[in-house]
Amino acid sequence: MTPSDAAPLNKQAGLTARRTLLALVGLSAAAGGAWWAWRKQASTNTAAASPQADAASAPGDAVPAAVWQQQFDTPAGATLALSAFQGKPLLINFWATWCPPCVKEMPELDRFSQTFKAKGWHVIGLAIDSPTPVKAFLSKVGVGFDIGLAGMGGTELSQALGNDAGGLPFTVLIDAQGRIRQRKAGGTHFDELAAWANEITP
Amino acid sequence: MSFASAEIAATAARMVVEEGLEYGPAKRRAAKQLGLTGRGDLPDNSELEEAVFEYLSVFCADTQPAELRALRELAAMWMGRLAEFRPHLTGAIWRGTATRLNDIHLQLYCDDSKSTEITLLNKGIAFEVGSVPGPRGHDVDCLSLSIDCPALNEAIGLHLTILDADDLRGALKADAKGRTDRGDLAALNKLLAQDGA
Repeated sequence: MTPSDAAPLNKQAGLTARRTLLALVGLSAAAGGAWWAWRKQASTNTAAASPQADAASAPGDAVPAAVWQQQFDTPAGATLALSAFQGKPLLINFWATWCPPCVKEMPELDRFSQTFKAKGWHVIGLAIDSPTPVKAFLSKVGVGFDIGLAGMGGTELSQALGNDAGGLPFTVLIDAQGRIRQRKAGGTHFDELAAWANEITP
Repeated sequence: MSFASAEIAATAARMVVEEGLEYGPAKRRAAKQLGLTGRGDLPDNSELEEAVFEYLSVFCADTQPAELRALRELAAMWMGRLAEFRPHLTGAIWRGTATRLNDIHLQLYCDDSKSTEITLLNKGIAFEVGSVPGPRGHDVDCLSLSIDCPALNEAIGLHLTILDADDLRGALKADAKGRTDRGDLAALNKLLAQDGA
C-alpha cells in the first residue's frame, strides 16, 4: 500500500472512532441526567416524608431553650422578655415596616389578639427593623399586642424557630407546653390564625 | 475649562439640581440646548459637580442641606437592612449634591448575584429589574424599588446595582481631591455625624 492509499483509510478509521466516542459521551450524559433526576426525586420524596429532617424546629418540636432567654426593647422603652410568656399559648410574628405583606397583616394579628385574649392567648410582634421606623409605623397603625424590637438579629431567631429562608412575614404558633404547633412563612389572616388556635384551645 | 464647557457645565448643573438628571444625560442635553455639539466641549464630571455645588449654594442653600440629610438617613436605614450584601452608597447622595429629586443609588457587592432578589422576594417587596453598564464591560442587574421617605413626605426611588464581591477591590480609591465615588454604612454614618455637629 502506498502512503497515498493509506491516508483516506486512516481518515475513515479516525471518523468511526470519533463517532463512537461521541455516542459514548452522549450516552454517559443521558445516564448522568437520569441519575440527577432520580436523585432530585429521591430527595424531594424524603423531604415530603419527614419534614423534620432538615428544619431547625418543626411543628410539634419544643421551642429551643435559648429562644426563651431572649429579651427585646419595646418601642416604649420597656423590656420584653420571652420567658414571661413561657407556659402560655403564644403567637409570635416576625415583621418589618419595609415588608408590605407584613404591614398588611398587622390588623389581622391585632384582631386575633383581641379575640383570643380571653382564651389566654398572647401575641408578640418582633420587628426585624430599626426603632425609628417601627415607632413611626405604630404611631400611625396602632396595635394592641406586644411589639419587640428584634433588630437585624431577629432573622437568626426566626431561623431558630424554623424560618429556613429568613423571609418575612413569619408566624409561629406555640402551645402552652412550649411546642411549635404551626409555622407559616408568608402572609396570614385572621381565619387561618383562629383555626390554628381553636385546634389547641377549643 | 474652555468657555464652551463652562457654559455647558452651568446649564447642566441647573438640570441636575432642578430636574434630578444624571450627569451624563444632563451634559448631553445642555450641549444640545446650547448648540455646542463638539465632543471636546463637554465638561468632565468633577467640573460639572463643581458647577452643581455652586448652583446649590446660590439657589437652594435654604432647602438642600435638610433634603440631603433626610436622603442620607433613609439610605443609611436601607443599608442596614441590606447589610449582608455589602451596600455602598454612590451618586449625588454620597457626594453631597442631592436634593429631593434624586434617587438613592446603592451598589451591592454580593457573593451570589441572585441573593438580593431572593431576599426581596422573600420579604414580599416589589421591585423591577433593569440592567446598567457594569464595571467590567458587561451589563449588570439593577433592582429598582420605590420606598417611602417620611421626612420628605414622598416616595423615593431606590436602585440596587448588583456587583460581584470582587468588584469591591479598588472601588474605594480616592480621586484627585481625596474623595471617593462610594462609601459603606460606616463612612455614611461618619458623614451624618460630621454634618450634625
